[in-house]
Amino acid sequence: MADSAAFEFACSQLEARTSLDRLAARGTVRIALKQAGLEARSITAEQMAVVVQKILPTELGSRGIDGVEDLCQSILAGLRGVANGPLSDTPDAVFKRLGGA
Amino acid sequence: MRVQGLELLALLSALAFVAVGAAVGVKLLWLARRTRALPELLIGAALLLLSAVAWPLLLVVTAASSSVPEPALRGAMSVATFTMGVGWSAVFLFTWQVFRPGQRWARAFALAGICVELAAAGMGMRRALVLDDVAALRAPSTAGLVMLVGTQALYVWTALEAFRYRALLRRRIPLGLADPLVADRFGKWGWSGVFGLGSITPAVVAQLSGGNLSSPASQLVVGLCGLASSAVLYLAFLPPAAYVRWVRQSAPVPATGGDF
Repeated sequence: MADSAAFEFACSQLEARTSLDRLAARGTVRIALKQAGLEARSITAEQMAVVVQKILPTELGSRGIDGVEDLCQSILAGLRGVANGPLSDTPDAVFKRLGGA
Repeated sequence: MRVQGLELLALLSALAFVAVGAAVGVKLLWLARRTRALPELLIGAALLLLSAVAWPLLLVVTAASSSVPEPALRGAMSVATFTMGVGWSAVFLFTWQVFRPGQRWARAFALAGICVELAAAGMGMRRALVLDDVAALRAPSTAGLVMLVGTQALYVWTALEAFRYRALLRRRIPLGLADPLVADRFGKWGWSGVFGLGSITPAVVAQLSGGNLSSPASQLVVGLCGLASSAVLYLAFLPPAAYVRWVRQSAPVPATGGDF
């Protein structure tokens, strides 16, 4: 199953703007997603924005990346233009419906 | 005295499962009528078939006196077996479609499970209709064992998927990306799988070991698991307002962040 557009965008930005290579950039984002309980194949731009704000800065800092704040602001700005693909019925959407919540 | 207590527990457990399962099933089928979505149709139909059709008919067959006509007993057993096969097949489909719709192994596992359930149901229906001695309907059978083992696999799979997703949502709650009540619902659904497993396992063990299903220990396990299963289904799908408040108040408060 392909990864989402938001995940691909964040990874491409890290690869282009830092010294991380493709593998390291994707691995860093995947670690941040795991901490947030999210999955690369289904994450939306809105969810990725929260990860970029709240988790990614610490991950990048621990890898010795400079200018983390500016970098994350730049990724956030770019995420606004990332369209979510066709949204599938995720398990949480289904269970939200089932309870009438 | 102890036997009377266990019989009361079994009766309460059965009544609770019939009432809660039917209420949740009707609610979800009503929801499916509005949303036209498959998951609520599958799980609503499964709960209604298992709790409001199969379970009462099994009780009739088990507790029937000699005054009940033989064709009625055979018919009740046939319909109960058929609805159990269809109901548990619907849960296999639900678990595959909701948790792993794009994964080949999940499709293969679900389809294998459905084949086992429907084949066992067919065998069980035939047995109910052709058995020489109608009293033997209450005795364990190979068809029943196959169906229950398939259902054990289903309950384990369902519980694992539900608990895995609850763990994901619990990590999202502090980030403001998940509703604590929905995370709790996954947990309750997982526990319904655990208690479902607990309620059928004594029958499997008794059949494999030649033991007695109506032993006090088996009755106690089946009764307690049945009651617990009904309780978690009720809290998951028909949660009272006080429970909803408690779940939300007990959850970690999301940290505030910048705007997106």
